[in-house]
Amino acid sequence: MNTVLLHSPALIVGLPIFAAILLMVVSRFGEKVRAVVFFAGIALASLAAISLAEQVLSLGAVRYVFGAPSPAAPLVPPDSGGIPVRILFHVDAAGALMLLVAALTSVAAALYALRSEERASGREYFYPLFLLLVGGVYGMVATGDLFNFFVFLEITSLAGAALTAYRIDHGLAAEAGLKYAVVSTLGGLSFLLGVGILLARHNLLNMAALGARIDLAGFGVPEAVAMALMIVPLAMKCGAVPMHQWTPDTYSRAPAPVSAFLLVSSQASLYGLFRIGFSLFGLSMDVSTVGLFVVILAVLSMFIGVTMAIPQHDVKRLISHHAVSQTGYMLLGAGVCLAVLGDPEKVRVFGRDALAGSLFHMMNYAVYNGLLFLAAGAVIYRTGTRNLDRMGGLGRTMPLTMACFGVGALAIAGIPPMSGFASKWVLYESVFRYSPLLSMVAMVVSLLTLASFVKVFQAMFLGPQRAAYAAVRDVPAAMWGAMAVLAVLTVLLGLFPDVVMQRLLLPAADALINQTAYTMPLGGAQ
Amino acid sequence: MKAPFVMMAMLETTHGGWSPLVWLVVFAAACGVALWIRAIGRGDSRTGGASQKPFLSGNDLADPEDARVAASNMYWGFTHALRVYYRRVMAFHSGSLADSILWFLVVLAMLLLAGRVA
Repeated sequence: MNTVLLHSPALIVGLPIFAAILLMVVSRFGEKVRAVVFFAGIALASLAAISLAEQVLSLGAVRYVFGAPSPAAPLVPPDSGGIPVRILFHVDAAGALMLLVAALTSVAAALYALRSEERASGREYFYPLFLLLVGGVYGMVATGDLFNFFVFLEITSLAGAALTAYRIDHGLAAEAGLKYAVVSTLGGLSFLLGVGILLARHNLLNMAALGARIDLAGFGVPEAVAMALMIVPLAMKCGAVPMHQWTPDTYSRAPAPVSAFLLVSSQASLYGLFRIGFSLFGLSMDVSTVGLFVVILAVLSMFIGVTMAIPQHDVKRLISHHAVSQTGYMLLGAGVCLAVLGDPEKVRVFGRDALAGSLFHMMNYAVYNGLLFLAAGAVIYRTGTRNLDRMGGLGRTMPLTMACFGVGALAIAGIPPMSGFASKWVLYESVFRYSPLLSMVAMVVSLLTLASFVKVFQAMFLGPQRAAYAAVRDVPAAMWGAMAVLAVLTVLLGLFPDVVMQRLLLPAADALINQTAYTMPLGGAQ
Repeated sequence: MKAPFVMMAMLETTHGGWSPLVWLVVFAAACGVALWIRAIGRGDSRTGGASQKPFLSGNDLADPEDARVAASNMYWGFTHALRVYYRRVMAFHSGSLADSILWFLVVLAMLLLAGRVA
């Protein structure tokens, strides 16, 4: 057991990738074997991720090295044939938070996919691709190496594009997948160029060591260019306006469980943005300018996202526009904290809370927006339409789906006591200290979100029953079970916010704010 | 002294706090008052009659399925009032990959310039 715990950083990435390869071998033995291997791969990786997160939260940051016996070992491992290759995984409280989000959401999405995709052909490709997407997200969150981050970013991009295009859908899904692939490749190339500039300048790829070196050597023009080349693609990958146009196409055309986990993949990009902004460059760069830049992206994302959602009548497209809007909240809290990072008093008074609120919203968003995608997918699964104008009265025949969707809708609209209210409350309060106007914009956006989901809920579940859907019944147990898991989490996160805040979010915010703790020399730790 | 359960549910921030459990108690009390008001109303108001017939703007409907406002029309007033904004923002969401790449380059250039000016 200790060995498993010791190697959990390797297992979170290794297990899904191994299961993906194994699936290609065992696919010929039938659907049941395929489903068991798929779900076991996801569930075991989630267990490893949860145990790693627990270890980090109890004992402190974990550093795990591939290619050498310990992080403090000589640069050239004796068994590497003289090649100085090694990869370091570095998981602190911020990484632990993301691991938990990915672990819980991936299990729910995988459970749902087992039934929702059973009628689709090509499952021998769907399952391995989903596993690669999950493994890629874990890798992005756990790695402490910039090039390795790029590799995992590419794995998630390719797997995400293929999964989006999986159903083809008269070419619409294929087009959405292609858009995602092109945008991700552009972003990946930009990121790689930034990494190349830093490598050429400092001969380092390890984020902690690079952070310390930049802090010492100063932030020059090459660093400014590298920072822009890395931050902008990650902002695009998380769906920040005005680089968000891929988001409604991709999320709305992907199968529901893929949409739910693509959200987490986007959150991993947002985590990467936070990591690069706070831990790699931190106070070396002009934080007030970059923070203000992030705040502007946040306001645009919140407002344009929600106003674009209101006129939509394709339910998944509507939720996708809300995903853009919700990303704005996360960028807002982080941007405010980044903008005041140079002033310890402001960080203490409201910056830390703003970042914690942003991280809280990230966690909640992955759960409730994932839930909304799954519930919308359940309605489409039964009715065969995604057009809200053609739905109605489904609450009588799909009460479980209605209840789960209701929980998600209340949470995204920030209605107490759901989780969305708690995180928005922290954001409103902390951002108000920076600029009351920004806080007011966030509240107005929340009001518009409520209006939008009143429309969706009414159109799907209320009103007279349509004769065409009189025989429709609720979705199979695996599908509503997956939704129920996320619905319960949404309620619990809302009812006990302080447990999450004290145990998870404030340590995660501190891990990002305290650059020195991240960049301290290797050695000592695992 | 507060009970541990209540403490677990109390979110304390630098400037205030939020207690979902207190909110739930108040919400339950409000629901109780609403139910009490409903209980003291007329008992015969729900039995048959025109009050139960679906209608739209005072007109009888032949088919109850028509007794709904389509989702696309629900916020017509809002979108119509903001039609200038919506015309521009819809055009901005062209779905063209070239536009996505262009906006990526614009934002990249803006951040580079912002860094340079700063």
